[in-house]
Amino acid sequence: MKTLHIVNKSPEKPSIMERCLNFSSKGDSLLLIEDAAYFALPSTISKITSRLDALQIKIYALEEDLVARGINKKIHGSIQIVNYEGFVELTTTHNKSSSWY
Amino acid sequence: MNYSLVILGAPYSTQSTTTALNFTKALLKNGHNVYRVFFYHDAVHNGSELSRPPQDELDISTEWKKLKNEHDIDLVICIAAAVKRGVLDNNEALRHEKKSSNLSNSFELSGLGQLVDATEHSDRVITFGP
Amino acid sequence: MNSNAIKARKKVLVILTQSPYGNALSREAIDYCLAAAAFEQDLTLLFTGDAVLQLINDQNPSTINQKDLTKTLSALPIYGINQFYVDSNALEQYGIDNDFCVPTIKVDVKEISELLVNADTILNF
Repeated sequence: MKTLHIVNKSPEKPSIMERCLNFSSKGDSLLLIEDAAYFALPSTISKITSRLDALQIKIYALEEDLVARGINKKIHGSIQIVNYEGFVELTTTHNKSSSWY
Repeated sequence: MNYSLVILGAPYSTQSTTTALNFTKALLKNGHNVYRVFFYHDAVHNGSELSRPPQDELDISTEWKKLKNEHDIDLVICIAAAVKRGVLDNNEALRHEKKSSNLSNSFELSGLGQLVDATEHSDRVITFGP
Repeated sequence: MNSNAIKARKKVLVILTQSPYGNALSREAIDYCLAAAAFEQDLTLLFTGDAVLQLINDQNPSTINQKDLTKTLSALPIYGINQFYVDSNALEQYGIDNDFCVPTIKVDVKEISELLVNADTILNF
């Protein structure tokens, strides 16, 4: 029963990502959308990569939100870019989603 | 798969609605079924026929109208949350003795039971936070 | 036998994160829970973050022209919702751990992860 965790708030509100990571289980995935796209920047994602790795959580970021913010070429290599169809695909390959905001 | 969406953010104030719109389009493009879109909290403002963004901005109301016309998706707005915020259909306008109503005909006002029903009948329920 | 007839109801986990009066989402979430309870849904409530502040007794929001959320919360057990899970970390953060308006079950991070794993559907308010 894997969960897709969807975060939409910027790293400026760290408690939201904190909560998401605390409640995640092994093999869950994390999708960064809207202002959470900024988490994809190397300096912000590096603060949580060890925890993500420990839980074997894959990180995805929504392409449209990255491009909109001018950061699609600046993101950390561990992050996979998905478009809206990829977003849909993620919701089919996970049993449920939890939106943290 | 059968999907329902819960939208919570106000259109034009947050990205919530446009993210949900794009997601809905991608769902339909990939052959999924949209069981219901439920508008709650500040997202009830999506139902206003009177919103009119500048011409160089996306007209969210028209986007929902297109999806409604082309795919007949069920767009339900929480009646209690909507009436409180000034989104009324004809019945509610009469009931509350208001001179006019403003609900776009793409939407219907209904109770939270519709959200309960949506969670029961959908394979996936995706929340779009404010 | 019709498989639909024996199909169990979906387990819905409602995750509450908002403080009682700063945002209408807190009340709207509890309104949803009441509706779901009235339809006899299999509902689990988790209070985390600022939402643990909803549970404090002796709230008197008439001073800020709002209705008492604890009155609505207290109605949930009447509809058969008796399980109120509360994030112990959040309680610790605010230094509150008793005198709540409903009976609570304190859960740690691991137990909360389990709640998410066991849910069919998660609604976040």
